[in-house]
Amino acid sequence: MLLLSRWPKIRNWFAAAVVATTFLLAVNLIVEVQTSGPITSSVPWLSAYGFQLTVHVDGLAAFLAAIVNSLGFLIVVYSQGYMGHEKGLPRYYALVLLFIGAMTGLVIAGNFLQLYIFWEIVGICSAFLISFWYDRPEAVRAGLKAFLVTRVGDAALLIGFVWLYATTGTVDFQRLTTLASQGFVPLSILTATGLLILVGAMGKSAQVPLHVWLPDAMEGPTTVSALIHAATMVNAGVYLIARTYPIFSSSQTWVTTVGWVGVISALLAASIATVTTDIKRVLAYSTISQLGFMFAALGAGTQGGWFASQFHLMSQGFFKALGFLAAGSIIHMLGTRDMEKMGGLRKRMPLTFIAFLFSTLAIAGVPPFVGFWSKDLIVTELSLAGQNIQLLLMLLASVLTSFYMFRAFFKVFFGPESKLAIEKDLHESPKIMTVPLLILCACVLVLGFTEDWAADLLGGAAIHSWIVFSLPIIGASMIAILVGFAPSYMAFYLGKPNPKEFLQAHPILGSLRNVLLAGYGFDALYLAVFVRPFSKISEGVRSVQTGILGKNLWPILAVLFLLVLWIVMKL
Amino acid sequence: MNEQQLLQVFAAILFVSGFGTIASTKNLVKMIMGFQVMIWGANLALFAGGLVNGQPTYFSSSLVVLSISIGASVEALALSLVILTYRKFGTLNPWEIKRLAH
Repeated sequence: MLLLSRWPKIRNWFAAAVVATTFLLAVNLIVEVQTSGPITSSVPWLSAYGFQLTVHVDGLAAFLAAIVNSLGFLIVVYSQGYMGHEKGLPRYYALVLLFIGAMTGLVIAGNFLQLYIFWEIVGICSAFLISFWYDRPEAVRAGLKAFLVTRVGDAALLIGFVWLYATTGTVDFQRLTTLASQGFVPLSILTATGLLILVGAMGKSAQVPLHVWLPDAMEGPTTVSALIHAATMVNAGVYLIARTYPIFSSSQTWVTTVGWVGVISALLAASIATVTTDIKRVLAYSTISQLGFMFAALGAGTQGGWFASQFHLMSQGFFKALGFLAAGSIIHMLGTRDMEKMGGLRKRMPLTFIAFLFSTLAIAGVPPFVGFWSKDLIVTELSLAGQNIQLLLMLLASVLTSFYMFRAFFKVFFGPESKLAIEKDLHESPKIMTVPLLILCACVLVLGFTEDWAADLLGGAAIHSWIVFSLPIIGASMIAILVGFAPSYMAFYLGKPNPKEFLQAHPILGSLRNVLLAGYGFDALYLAVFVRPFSKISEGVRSVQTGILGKNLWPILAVLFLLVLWIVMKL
Repeated sequence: MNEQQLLQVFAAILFVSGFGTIASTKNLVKMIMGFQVMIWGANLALFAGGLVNGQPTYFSSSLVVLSISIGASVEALALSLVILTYRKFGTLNPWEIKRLAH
């Protein structure tokens, strides 16, 4: 590496080559799983405590590994252009590679302990990458916030699986599935641990009320945002629920809770996305909303719903990566994230225009883009499961999705040309950035047709019977898209009614907008309930903290002593 | 008590004695030595935990070796910080270096 540091270009492309290799290996895994079934291999590790190092690759793991590494590769290639002139690139590429590697390790882990180790590596990498520009106070704050908020979930996950271990004596997914299906684990414990693990997944996947870190995470470089939103990090939570689904699915409470968490997140986040003016924040709230769709699909409680969630994960990964990289291309050339300062960019950046158009169409769910297939599958599965309330709320979320994506699209690319663009004599981004965009465009166009193939890979014949196309459902979601598109088109393309005047004429909408802009006050609430009292307490006990390690250790030693005493007494 | 349990008890003793060293010393270098002893204890516990029928296994021992090498580099960093501290404050006694306390 020392040698490589003299030729930064080679060093940067080396990172891309590494991810390309792992991508090919992941594809190889898919082929192997398809020809010879799931692969499990384990070596003894801490056998005194019953832990083994287990690599378990089934269809789900191989599928996710391929998604993570393909998107990771495209993002690393795009970084060559986007991050070209930054300082601290060795740190950037090292963390990105660790990030992708940890995510791959997470999806092939065969037990909770291993998953948890990679889970933490993913968390720390994301925090470091969000605060990549450590001289910006907001970036440092955002990184810390991401770390602390996901920590709440991580603690719950840790308690959950340790509790499960204390009850059953194993952390292995397959053994736990067998034990749970044979009824060896009491239903109450199954529900409790399942809910704790759900909290862990909510922290990572930014579901309400633990979603507050994700919009702030936009302070990092756009490539990092793309990585967090499409390939790694947020997918970990959905994956965890999908992986542990066979263990906990016998608890109806758990399944219902998962579904409602998703529905609420999808609606709340989509509604906030309709008012934000920061292009990256629109995409961030969109991610929370799309992840909500996945949780809602898992909450359908059927195998079809399970498959729909994972298929939507793939779909979301590709169209969100495309959306972020297109947004990054604009930000890179224009130097701002504020959509009010953009406008009329379609002639100056034709390729970015096409990329963002494709991403918008895919997120809204217009056929034949990949979003159409996966979102439709989710809605269909909800209706098959008879969850009509959730179904209606999801359709409402679809309306909002279509509205906010077309709003962003029209605001950025249509209307009068922005002053900033004329001042900077804006032109298209370099080839190294547009080529990955075009590849992703092709992906979102064709990947929707891989539905049958993916069903084969993930679950075989059992899932095929769940894939049905019912015209009323497709019609309903098409209508939802149009209902969202129409006001967006009128307000932001035609300018009739002018959005600003319209808001002034309707003060109720104005106050609603303010509530949405404040993100329903979650941040303010957390600040008042947790952050401020905690800072007060810390100041109060400041005198106990001497800053001298030797002094501070004595209380810990005393507690340790008491603990040993307690154990001895028990013996 | 078999070999494995013996090793585990010994690891616990090492860990606690390292802890005690850090808590009781007023010398930064000794503090790092105590830290090192704690790491030995942890490594020994990991090694003992990985024994199968009294025999070490490849994977767990290789992880222990990795842990030892990481521990060594951490100690090197800590010692270099101690040297800097000594140059700046002229003392190795943390009780006299009061900058963090205020």
